[in-house]
Amino acid sequence: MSDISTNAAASVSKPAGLADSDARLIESVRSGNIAAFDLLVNKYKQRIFAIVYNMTSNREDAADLTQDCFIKAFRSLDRFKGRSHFFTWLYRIAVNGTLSHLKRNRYRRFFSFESLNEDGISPDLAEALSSKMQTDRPLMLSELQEKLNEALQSLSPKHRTVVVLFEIEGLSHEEISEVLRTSVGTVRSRLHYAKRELQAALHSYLD
Amino acid sequence: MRENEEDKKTPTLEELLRLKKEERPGADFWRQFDRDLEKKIVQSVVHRDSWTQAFLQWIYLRGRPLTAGLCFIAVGYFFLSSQQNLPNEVMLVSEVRPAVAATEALDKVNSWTAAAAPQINGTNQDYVIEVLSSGAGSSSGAGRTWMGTMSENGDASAYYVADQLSSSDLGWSGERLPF
Repeated sequence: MSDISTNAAASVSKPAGLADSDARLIESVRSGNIAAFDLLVNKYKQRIFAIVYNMTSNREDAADLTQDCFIKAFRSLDRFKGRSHFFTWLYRIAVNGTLSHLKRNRYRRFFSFESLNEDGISPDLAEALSSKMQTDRPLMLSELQEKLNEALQSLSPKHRTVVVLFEIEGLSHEEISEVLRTSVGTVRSRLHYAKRELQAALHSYLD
Repeated sequence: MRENEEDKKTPTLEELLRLKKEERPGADFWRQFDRDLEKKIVQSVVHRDSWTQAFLQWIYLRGRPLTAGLCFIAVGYFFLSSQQNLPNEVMLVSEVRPAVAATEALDKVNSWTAAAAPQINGTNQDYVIEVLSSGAGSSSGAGRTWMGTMSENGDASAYYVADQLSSSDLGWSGERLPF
């Protein structure tokens, strides 16, 4: 897979705004330019991986499921009618694939975490957490990462999906409802209950 | 003021969740990812599903109601046909014997007029059957030999020669012998 559009991927801030360029790339793939699919992969692979990773808390599974998502998308591109944004369609494939995976493997759970990029943590938050946990920074971050993943995994897959899409990926309620093919009310309700559970699980960091 | 500072030091749930964004794989991971994905895409282009796989996938995705209906019809058909064909199953042919067997059978039987001649698919048959087992019990057929002839006059009152057989005995298995 080439790195032709690494810069394009980095510049993506809100996928909805890129619907037009997606449509052009899709047309290009359909007309036989398979290399154009690389551009779509590079544009969305990090987002798809992040969704799947945060739903599974397993980096190897997340890599496999992300690849599967792109392969399914590639093979089904002819069936994409353009009634929704490409990223919605792609997210739906990823989320459905991950939910099926979680269902199939509900009795087999292994966590394997990505390393936490400490530079991305705001100094204020790091200071607040350090003072709360009264421990040195690396240990604090490693413990926090574990607790966060545990808390997320304690949610039901449906609740976890909504939290991941809204709080981590920054999708709107409407976009999530489109991805999950459910009502906005259901999304809000799931988010409300999920956050209540997370508050309880992470209360020692929040109170 | 002091209270504000205390508030500032308490992280929110949203802030904690945003930390998850910082769990990111490095460049090596993505290089391996791209290699693997390229390999899988090439495989998916080269490898086409066999028609059986495609059919099973179609059933899984779209054809479940239709398949359920077809299964229901098939089960119903087999049930009904097994009910209709039950008398025929009595006349299983497992071994063809020489004509001598028929002669032996003829020696044993008495002339007997039945209410209805034995039939296969609604047609009177010309055969000898050695009954091996009987759903109606050994007293009514098992181990005995009997013979049927074609209807001589083509009606239901045709006669055949048999050894204590009744046309109402069903569920037997036996061997048909050439006549």
